[in-house]
Amino acid sequence: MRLFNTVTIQTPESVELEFTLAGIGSRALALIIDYFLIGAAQFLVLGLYLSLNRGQIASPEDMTTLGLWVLAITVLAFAAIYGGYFIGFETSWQGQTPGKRFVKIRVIKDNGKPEGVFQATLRSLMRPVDDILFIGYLCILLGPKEKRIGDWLAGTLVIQSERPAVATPLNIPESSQTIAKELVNQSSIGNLLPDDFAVLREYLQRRATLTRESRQALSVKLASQVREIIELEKLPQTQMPAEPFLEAVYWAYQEQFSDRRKAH
Amino acid sequence: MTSSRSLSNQLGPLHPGSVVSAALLLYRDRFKAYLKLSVIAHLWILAGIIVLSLFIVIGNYVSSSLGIVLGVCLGLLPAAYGIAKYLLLSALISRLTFKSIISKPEKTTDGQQAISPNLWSFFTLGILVPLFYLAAYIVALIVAVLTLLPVGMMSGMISVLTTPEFGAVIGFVLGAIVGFGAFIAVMLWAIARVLIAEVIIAIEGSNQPSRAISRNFRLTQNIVLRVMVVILAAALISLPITLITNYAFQIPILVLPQDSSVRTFLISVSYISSILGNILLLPFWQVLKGVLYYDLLSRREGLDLQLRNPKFKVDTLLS
Repeated sequence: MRLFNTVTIQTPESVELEFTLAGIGSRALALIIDYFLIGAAQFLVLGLYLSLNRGQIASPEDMTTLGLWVLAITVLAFAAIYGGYFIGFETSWQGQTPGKRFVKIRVIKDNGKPEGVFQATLRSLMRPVDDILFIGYLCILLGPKEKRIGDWLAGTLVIQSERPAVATPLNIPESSQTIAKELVNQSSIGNLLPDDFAVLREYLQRRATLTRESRQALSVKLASQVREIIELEKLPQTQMPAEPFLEAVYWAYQEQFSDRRKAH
Repeated sequence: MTSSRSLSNQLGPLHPGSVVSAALLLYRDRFKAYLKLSVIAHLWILAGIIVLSLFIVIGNYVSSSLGIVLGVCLGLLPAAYGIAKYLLLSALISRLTFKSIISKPEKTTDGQQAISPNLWSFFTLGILVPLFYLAAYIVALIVAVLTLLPVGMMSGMISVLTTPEFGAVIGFVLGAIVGFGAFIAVMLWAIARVLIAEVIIAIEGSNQPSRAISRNFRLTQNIVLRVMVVILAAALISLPITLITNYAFQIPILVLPQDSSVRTFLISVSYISSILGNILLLPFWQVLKGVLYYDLLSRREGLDLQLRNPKFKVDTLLS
C-alpha cells in the first residue's frame, strides 16, 4: 500500500535515486501561501500608486505624461511581482519559494539536478495557463508524475524535501547519562536493533506532543520492553521512572554505537 | 536509511499537505470499492426521503390536516434510519482506510458488521455535529463583524490623510479579506474539533457520541492549527470538483429567462450533477478522516512508536 507517489531517477553513473513526489495537498498549500504573499505585495504597489494619485483614477486620455509613466510602471511592477517572485525564489533558493519551503517541497529537474533559471522561467510563464480551468490541478491529480503543463515543458519534478540526514541530537540530562554508564556494564545494549533505537529516539523527540496519559503509558511499555531486550536483571535505581530509563538506554546505545553509525 | 520508517508501513505523523495527498492516493487505489459504498450511502438517504414522502401522501389521502402531521411523524423514523445508514457507511470508509494504513486491512463486510451495533450513535452524532456547526457559524459571524472595527478605523484614518475614495477602497478590500478570513478561521476551528468524531466511534467502538466529540477535542488539543490547515488544503482540493458539479449549471440558469424549458431542464440536470458530485467527494473526505485519525493518533498517542524487535509481536495501542 502506498501513501505517496515516488519516482526513481537513474543518474549517468547508474546510481538510482528515489524521490517522494510532493503530492497535490502540499502543492496546493504552497500555492496558497505564495499567492497570498504575491497578493500582499501587489496590494502594497496598488496602495502606493493610489496614494501617489491621491486616490483619483483618471482615464488614460486625461493623464499627464508623468501620470502615464507612473501607470506603466505600476502595471509592470504587477507583472514583475507575479513572474519574478517564482523565478527569483526558485532560482536562488534551489527550487523553493516561501510557500514551498514552508510545506517542505522543492522543484528539481527531471534528472535530479537543481532547477535553473530556464526551468523556473518556463514554469512561471505556464502558471497562468495551468491555473485556467484547473488544468494544472487535473494534470497533477491524474498524472503518474504529478506534473502540470509547466512541469512538462520545463522538464521538472516537484518533490518532498529530504529530511536532514543527521538527526538533531537530543538533550539528555546528566543524571540519565550517569545511569547510562551503569547500563553499559550491566546489560547487553547491543541487543537493541537499529530499528528499536530509532523508535526510542522518535519517542524521546516527540514525547512533548503526546497526551499526558499516552506519554505515561507508552513510556512504561517501551521501558519494560527495552529492559527485556537488553536483558537487564536489576534496575539501576530501586525507583526507576520510565523516561529517565529510556533516556539512559538511548544515551548508552548512542555512546556505544555512534562510531559505527557514522561509518555508514 | 535504516530508520523504522523505511522498514515498515508505519509512517508516523504526516505533514498537513501530505495528509491530503495520501488521502487522494488511497481513494484512487480503492476508487471502485469506496465509490460503491458512497452510492449505497446516498441511496439510503434517497430511500428515506421517498418513504417519508409516501407517508405524507398517504396521510394526506386519509385526512388532509391530521393525516399530514401523522404521515410526517411516522415517516420521520424511516428517514432517520436512512440518514443513520448513510452516516454509518461514510464512517465505514474511514475505518477501512485507517485499517489499511496500519497494515491490518479489513473486508468491507467485516467492517460493516463490526460497526453496525453503533448505528444510532452515528445518528445522534449526526444531530450533535450540525448543532455545533450552527453555534460556530453564529460565533464566526460575530467575530467577523468585530474584526471589521479596527479595519474601519484604519480606513477612516487613511480617508483623512488622503481622499475619502481611497480610504473607502482600502477599507473595503482589507475589510473583505480580514472579515472573510476571520469567519473562515472560526469555522475551520470548529470543523477541526469534531471532524473525526464519527471515525472515533467507527474504530474505537464507543457508543457515546458526546464522548467521541470530547475525545476529538483532546486529540486535536495544541495542534488544532495543523488540523485546520489539513481541512483547508482538502477543501481547496475538492473545490474544483464542487465548482464544476454544483455551480457550473448555475450560471446559465441565472442568465436564461424564467419560463424557458431549457432552464427547467438545466435545473434538474444541476440537481443530478450536484448529487453526483457529492457521491464522488464523500469518499475523499472520509478517506481523509481516516488518514487524519491515523496522523492524530501517531502524533498524540504515539501509535507508530512500537518496538518491532522480533521478541515482541507487533501490536498497536488499539488492539
